[in-house]
Amino acid sequence: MKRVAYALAGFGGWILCANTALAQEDLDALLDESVVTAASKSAELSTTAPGTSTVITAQDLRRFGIHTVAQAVDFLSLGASTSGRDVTGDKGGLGARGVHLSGDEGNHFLLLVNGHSVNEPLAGGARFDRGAGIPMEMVDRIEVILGPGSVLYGSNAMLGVINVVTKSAKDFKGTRVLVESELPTSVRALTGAGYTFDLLGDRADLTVGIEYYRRFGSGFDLSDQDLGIDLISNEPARTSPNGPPTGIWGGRIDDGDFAESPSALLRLAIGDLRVTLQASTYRQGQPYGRGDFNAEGSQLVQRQAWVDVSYRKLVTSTLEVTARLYGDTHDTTSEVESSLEGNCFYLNVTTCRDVRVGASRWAGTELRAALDWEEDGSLVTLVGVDGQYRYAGTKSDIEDAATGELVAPSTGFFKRDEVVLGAYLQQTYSPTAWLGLNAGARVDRDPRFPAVISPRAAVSVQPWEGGTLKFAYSEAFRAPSYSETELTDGPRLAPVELDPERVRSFEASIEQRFGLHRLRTVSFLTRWQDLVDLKQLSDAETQRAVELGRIEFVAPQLTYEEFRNVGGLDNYGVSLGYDGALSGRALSWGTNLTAAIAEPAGGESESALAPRWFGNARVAYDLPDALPTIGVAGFFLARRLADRGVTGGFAERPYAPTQLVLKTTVTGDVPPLSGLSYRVGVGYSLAEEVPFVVGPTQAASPTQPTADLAPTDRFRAFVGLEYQL
Amino acid sequence: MTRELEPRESQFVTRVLAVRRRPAFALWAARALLLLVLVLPSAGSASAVNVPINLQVKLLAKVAAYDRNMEDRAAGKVRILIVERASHLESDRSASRIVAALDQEDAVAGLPHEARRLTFDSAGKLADAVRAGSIDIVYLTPGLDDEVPNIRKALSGEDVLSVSAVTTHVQDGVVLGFDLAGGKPKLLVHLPTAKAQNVAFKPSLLKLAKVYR
Repeated sequence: MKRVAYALAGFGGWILCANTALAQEDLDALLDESVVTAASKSAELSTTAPGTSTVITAQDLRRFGIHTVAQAVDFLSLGASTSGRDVTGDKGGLGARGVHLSGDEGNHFLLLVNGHSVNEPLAGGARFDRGAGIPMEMVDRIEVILGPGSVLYGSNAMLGVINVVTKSAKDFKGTRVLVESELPTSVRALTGAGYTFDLLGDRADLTVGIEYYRRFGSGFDLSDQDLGIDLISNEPARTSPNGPPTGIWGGRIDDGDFAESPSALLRLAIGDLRVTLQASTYRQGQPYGRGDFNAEGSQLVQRQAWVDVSYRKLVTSTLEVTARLYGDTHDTTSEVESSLEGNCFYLNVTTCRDVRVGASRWAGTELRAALDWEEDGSLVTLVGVDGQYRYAGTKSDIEDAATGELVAPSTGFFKRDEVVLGAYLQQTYSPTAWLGLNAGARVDRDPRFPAVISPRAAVSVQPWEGGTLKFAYSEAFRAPSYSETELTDGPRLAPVELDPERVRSFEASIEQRFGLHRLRTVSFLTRWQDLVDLKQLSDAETQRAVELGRIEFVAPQLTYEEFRNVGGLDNYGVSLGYDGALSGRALSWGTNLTAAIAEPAGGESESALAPRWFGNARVAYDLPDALPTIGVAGFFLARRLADRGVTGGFAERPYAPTQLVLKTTVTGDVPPLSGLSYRVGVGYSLAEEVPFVVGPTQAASPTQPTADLAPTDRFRAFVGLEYQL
Repeated sequence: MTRELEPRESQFVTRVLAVRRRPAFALWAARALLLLVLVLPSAGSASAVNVPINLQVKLLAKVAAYDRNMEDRAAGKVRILIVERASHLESDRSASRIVAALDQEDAVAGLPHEARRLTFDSAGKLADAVRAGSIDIVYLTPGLDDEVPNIRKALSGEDVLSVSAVTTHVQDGVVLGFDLAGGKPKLLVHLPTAKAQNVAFKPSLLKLAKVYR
């Protein structure tokens, strides 16, 4: 009898423990949920939001030593990656699901900061590196929403939408200063503050940060490229203003890959009013572009500033209206020095400087209304209109690099201004706790092409505990940039007409949560059409252009080119994600893997820059008490074809080798100094090169039949101290 | 397209590319926006409801079970009082959403539950309603910022778990609240108020929460 009693007691205890463990698991799972705002322009769980989202937290950014949005994507995101970053950390756009488009300058992703789009209309691009001007310490989270997102945002959201959300004062409290160095090549200083106070009867929340970043140059070697004989001088090509012409381009670069970036970001919330201001300048050397090797005067300067003001008002308990006003300015100055007489065309100038300036300004307003029909959030209609005035222009000049005097008339000049309009409608319906429906469409009107409609339909079903099935169909477009539609300069002709790029996508996903563990599988199928690419005119096309007056006279040594809609690609694959933690979250880990194929139209079997396999993994451990946190993260990119791999005509197609990058970061407080914390880390890259062809040899020549690829940073250590007053 | 040779314009981006005319569109849009904001009736500014209501309610349903005294307090059914401010639209909306979200939960603290709404009159009357209705959970909505200290005083000594949809109410003396950090929900617990209201959260929960002492 006693034995029975003990057995029953033991069984009861086990049931109690099991139930407690299950209850703990349920709570852990809920606390591990992520809230996203960019998927539907409203706060919702990422599990049920349309599309595939990854939320990268401020804690992740710190403990894995992340310094830029691009690094965050490479090390921590599911389904998206760069194609590898060169030693400057600047070169290379962003791709997703195996689709990377060469030279796109990031214009197939829409980058938002606090909901404000920062893609500029001249090239359509955005920066995801240091040039973004976003101090990472001010970032609360980065939402990476994969899949076409034009349904709410319009142009550029073809691969996805990345929303960088900055911290409120409670998470960026007080005043702080930070100094960090990537030894010995760069230094960064940040000062910031976050305060709450009462203003005009409302609670105000202010965060502000000012950052200065300076990279001095990392020191690396580039292989010699034989440029042969200069067509104008009939001597070996000159590749620097000093010394005899040798025909050889290449050698040691010590500090030509410098960069400098002051930036500032301010976020102010007063009641329902939100204001975000950002300004930054990014100046970088261009030591291995198309000009002289390691030329001191070759640089790129980008400046941007924007303000976004939004105000939310509840008109009734079921109707919420949000009004937003914004204005942006962006300009780029590229200076490339060249001593090749074939580039300068003037015999009395040793070195000429090609100065290209582009500027764009845009301002607009967005009005949206959300109507909650049932007053419980289950049936909500969102309707919005977005009107924007845009101005863009460019100009190119050739100067004598020695004197700064112009040696030719300005070329490549255009100015264009116009109004673009967008209107969108989204309907969400959750008839039950386990079913969510989302359908919507947006129409965009741009004077350069017919109106574009971007629909989306998504379903999320939660048929069992912790399980979510999602299906989504969506379309997106990218309006051709003004550089693509308007610029005529030398052999480059502005196209007669250019349609927007289009993408259609279908994805299906399964997600299963059990406690602090989450498994995800996402299958996707996309079809891209009307991709825009630079194409050379045939002789017949050149002749036709003369007849139409597009070319005044044909220069015999020039091959004319223009942007065209050239075709598309089919893309399909699968992404797998797993993340987990031990209860208490002292130990957490995650891994993502994507296998994808992007088949271009036109018979090619592979796309440049696109890895067919890529992924990442991470583990972090919070040591107890005052001991630090150790984070180890890594990402890999499979072997991929270089950007000129198809068009360069090289004897052997250039490929960048499989890249594996590992980074270890240790963060913690500095006892016993209250408020002082540190972050140290080291990173190592197995690969030496990334898939970008460098130097003047962008296509095979008799003297240079092979391509040289950009080097990547092999080893880097960094150390930083932050003091919070 | 080429132009005549011209002096180098170092201020190119501000002069040559400067906007030639101020577009009517932008001015019109700004005026319309200002008018809209001024004309629409004021709803009272929204307090910070950082965590979506449906997630708050899911969390509450689990977290309530971590109160060691909840089972005795509830005596078989958890009674929830949702407190809203009269004529406050955000408060009304939050209350409706809390009710709807609670309808979707089979259990709170593992027990059946019922909810009703109360329009706030005074902290004293709220305490009376808590006693009269054997209320186990008081759920505050936006619009009650200035009353939270009074509510805390009035509920002190009562056997009730107070929860708020508004993040900042916790540091002013509500037992349980929710915040968002890095996009993930965080629990906030005001320990002195919990003690005063006979709420005894298990240590395993307090480890997960930000605790105000």
